[in-house]
This record gives sequence, structure tokens and C-alpha cells, in this order.
Amino acid sequence: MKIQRTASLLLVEDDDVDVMSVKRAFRKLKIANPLHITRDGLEALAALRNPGQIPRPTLVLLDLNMPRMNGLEFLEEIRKDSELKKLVVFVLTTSEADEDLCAAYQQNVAGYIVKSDVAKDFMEVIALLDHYWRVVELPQI
Amino acid sequence: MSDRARNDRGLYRIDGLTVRADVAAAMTGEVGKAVDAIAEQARHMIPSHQSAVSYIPDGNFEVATHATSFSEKYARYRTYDVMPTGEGIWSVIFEQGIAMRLTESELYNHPRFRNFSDRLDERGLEHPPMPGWLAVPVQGSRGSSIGLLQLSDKIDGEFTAEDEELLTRLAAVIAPTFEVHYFHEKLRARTSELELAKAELERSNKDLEQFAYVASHDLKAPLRAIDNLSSWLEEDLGETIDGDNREKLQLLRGRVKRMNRLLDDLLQYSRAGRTSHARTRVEPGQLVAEAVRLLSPPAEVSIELLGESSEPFVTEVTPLEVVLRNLIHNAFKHHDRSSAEIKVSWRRSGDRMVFTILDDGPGIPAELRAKAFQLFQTLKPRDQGGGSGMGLALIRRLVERAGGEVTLEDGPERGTKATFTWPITDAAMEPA
Repeated sequence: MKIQRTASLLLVEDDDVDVMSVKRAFRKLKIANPLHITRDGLEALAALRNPGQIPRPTLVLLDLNMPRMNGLEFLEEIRKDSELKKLVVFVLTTSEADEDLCAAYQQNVAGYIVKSDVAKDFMEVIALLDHYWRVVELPQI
Repeated sequence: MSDRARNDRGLYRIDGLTVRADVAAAMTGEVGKAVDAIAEQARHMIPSHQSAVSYIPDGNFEVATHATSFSEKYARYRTYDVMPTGEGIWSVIFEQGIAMRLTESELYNHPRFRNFSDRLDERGLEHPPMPGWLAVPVQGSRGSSIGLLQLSDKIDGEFTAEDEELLTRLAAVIAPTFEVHYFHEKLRARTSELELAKAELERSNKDLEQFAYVASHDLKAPLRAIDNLSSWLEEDLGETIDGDNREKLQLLRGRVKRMNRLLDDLLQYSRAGRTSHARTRVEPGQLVAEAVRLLSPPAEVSIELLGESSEPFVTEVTPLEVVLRNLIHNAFKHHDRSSAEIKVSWRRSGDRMVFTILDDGPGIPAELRAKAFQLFQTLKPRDQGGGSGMGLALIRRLVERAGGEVTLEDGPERGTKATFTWPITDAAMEPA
């Protein structure tokens, strides 16, 4: 028997405006699910490994270019971690480089999204994630 | 008898001089071998115990090549290796371009002669004694000396006027060898200079492309933030914002869009020089029709396709498509009338396709045509629909990289006629 828990999103992003953009998209799409924000890989890892801090997120939305621990390093860490390896991660980055894209899928990300140029916020992206967790069966962790 | 046979096979006559085969061969080869062979030749032609041959390009003794030949009498001097510096009596011959023929006492009493007998080489060997001296310059075609022939210690008596004449003729025979070598060296030095310059240019071009790529990519992130923030301001302020400020916000966003397009084009331009694309088979009519379809021109633009060739060919299709699309877009984008008629034609010409895009727009004044191909040049103010100024620069870059050419001319009545050639391979020549 499945226990339905409230889906939540962990955003790992160092750009203030991008964080605002995600929050704004949540508000405009009337998504009430919890949104947790960490500013780099290290902060995200600390939050994930400290169960009291935030609930295990349904999805992680991960930037690649970040200080201290970047997105790819973060992916490597969680895939080595028996507790965190099942995390469903979407990458959201400005990098269109093939190396980054391949490296991300090497670490089994669920999707790689390029921040489009002058975007209409992240409405489309957030709408996609909202849809995703409502339609796709995800592991209960 | 054996002498005679060797003569028949082995001797050459050059300008009336009999020259040994190895000398003749050496003359076309390295200068080091040539001077060795000539030193031998000279000493046997005018039987003497010592000879020396020097190739001295530009009169510079530091880069000179020398060879000596000694008979058994002077065998112990064969290792003597103090290099001449061009001082003293050598300079008389070299600068004045005259021959000198002196007896031993004349030589040792000459005011410009330095007695080298006290100058020892590294192994303590003194300069060989010089009983009699005959020296002639080797004259280049430009009148300056490029070498020196010397003989000393004639086996039979003193050097004569005939000896001097003979050695002068030998000098004339070898002069072209020295000259060819001289120019060959100059050319080689110049070539390696050019190669260095070319490598340097290629490197700096690569750096520049890399820079353009990185700059355009990294500038986009803050730009995206500015765009977001300004659009949120506009949304959130809603009706409370007055017309004047609304206009300012709109202007701000317009500039952001323009800068974004500029960066996009710059990225594309920098990629155009670096990326290579897959070669595929394509039919020209389909290619042009697809380019037009992608542009989805407005209803008042009519585009006529006039293909003279429907034969498929093989080429890097992606850049060709970009060029076609950009040129066709230009044809109506800058139009000054309510409707536009555009003709796109193509034909095969040997191993290339020739595409022509003719519009009936305002045309480009002849004096501005060259400028039109430069980066960031627009013919209209940017706020009035001028592009980023990168379109034609990109087109030219792609066309030239493929090995074709692009030109702009006046149309027959008005408008612009853009023509470009694009090298192709026959579809039948390459495996599908």
C-alpha cells in the first residue's frame, strides 16, 4: 500500500533571479507544493543528509554552474550515496555543451533543460515538472 | 689508357671548362659539398699544394661556408680550423672584386696581409705557410662578391697570368651555384617566416573565435535576468504605471531583445568557422522550398522558385540551408513596399551550384555594398528594423568556408541580386 506524500521540489541554484523566476512560476501556476532552495551542491547535500531539515524531495531541479560544488559533482556524490541514489534530478542550465549534457545523463538525470535565452520565466519548465510528478509514478523515499 | 676512359665517362665541360663529374653534381646540391668539390677541382686544374673555397653570402663571414684542400706536403694542415674573419687582404679582393696574384715575398710584405703564422688553432696548429698566392673573387650577378677562390704553393714555379685567367673562369662557372644557393636560402628563410606568421594568425583567429563564443554565451545569463526582472516589473506594476514609464520599460525590453539577438548571431558566426557538418545528398528544389517554408513569409511576399537543375548533389547541407534562408529572408525583410516579389533561381555549373536571389526591394547603394558584408554593419538604424548587422557577414563566412563566393549587384529594375556559388559533389560519385 502506497502512502501518498506531498510532492516537493528541491531547487539547487545560485542565481537569485533564477530562484525568483522559479518561485514566480510556482505562484502563477498556483502550485502550492513545498519548494526548498539551496545555493550550491554542498548546501543541497547537507540539507538532504540531515532529515530534520527538509523532507526528501520528490524532484531535484539542479543548476550546473555553481560555486563550491557544481551540479555534476553533486550528481556524482548522490549517485554514490545509497540513501540518495534514487533521487529524480532534472538539470536546468545555460550550458549547451555536449560534454555537460552527456555527463549529466551518465549520472541518470531524468531530463536536461537549457535555460532558453531571454525566457518567459521558467513557466514551461515548472509546468512540466508539476505535470511530471502528477503523472509519473515515483519511488517513495 | 685508363685516364682517357675515365675522362670520357667522368668529365663535364661547362662554359669551356672541363669539370669533374662529382664537381658538376655537387654544384646542384648542398653548398657544403659544392665548395669541397670545387676546392679539389681548383687544386688539380692548376696543380698546387693548397686551395681554399669560400661561399660568403652578403659578405657575412659569420655565415660563410669554407673548404680547403691540401696535398700530401701539407697533410698535417688538413685539420687546421681557424675560421677566416674577412679582415686584411681578403677584404681587398672581396670589396674591390679584383684578383690578386703574389709571390711569397710580395704577399708577406703586403701592407694589408696579416701574418697568420702566429695564430694557432685550438689544437695548437699554426696557419700553413703560403709560398705564393693566387686569389679571385666569385662575383654574383648583382656585381657584389659572394665567394672567394684561393690557391697557394704552385707545384711548378710561380702562378702565371694564364693561371689567374683559368681560376677566374672557374669562379665564373661556380658563381651561379652560389647564387642559386643564396636565393634558395633567402627563400627558405622567408618561407619559414611566413609559415610562422601563418601559424600565429591561425592561433589568434582561433582565440578570437573562442572569445566570441565564450563572451556571447556568458553575456546571455545576466541579460536573461534583466529581461525577466523588467517583464516582472511590467506585469506587477500593471495599471499603476504611467504611460511614460511603461514606454521606458518597453524600450528597455526592446534593447534586451536586440542584445540577445546580437549575441545569438555572434554565437552562430563564431560557430560557422569551427563546426563541420555532415555531408548529405539533397535535391536543390527541395532544399530551396524547405528554406522558404521555414521562413513562413507573409502573404504579401511572393517567392518564385526557378530551378534549372533538379539533379541531386552531395554537400554540407546545414550551412547551405542557413545561407539560403538568410539571403531569402533579407530579400523581403528589408522591403520598402507593401508587396514583394522574390525570385530564387539555381543552376549547375561544373562542380558547383550557382544560386541567385533577386528581390524588388529598395536595393543597396553601390558604395555601401562592400560595407554590407562587414560585421555589425546595418544600413538602417537598428530601431527601424535593421538587423544585428551579422547576417551578410555570416553568409559570406559560410560561403567562403565552403569554397564558394558571394556577390551583391543591382537588380535589373530595382532591388538587389545576390548570387553565390557553392561547391558540390555529384550524388553519383559518393556512396549514398
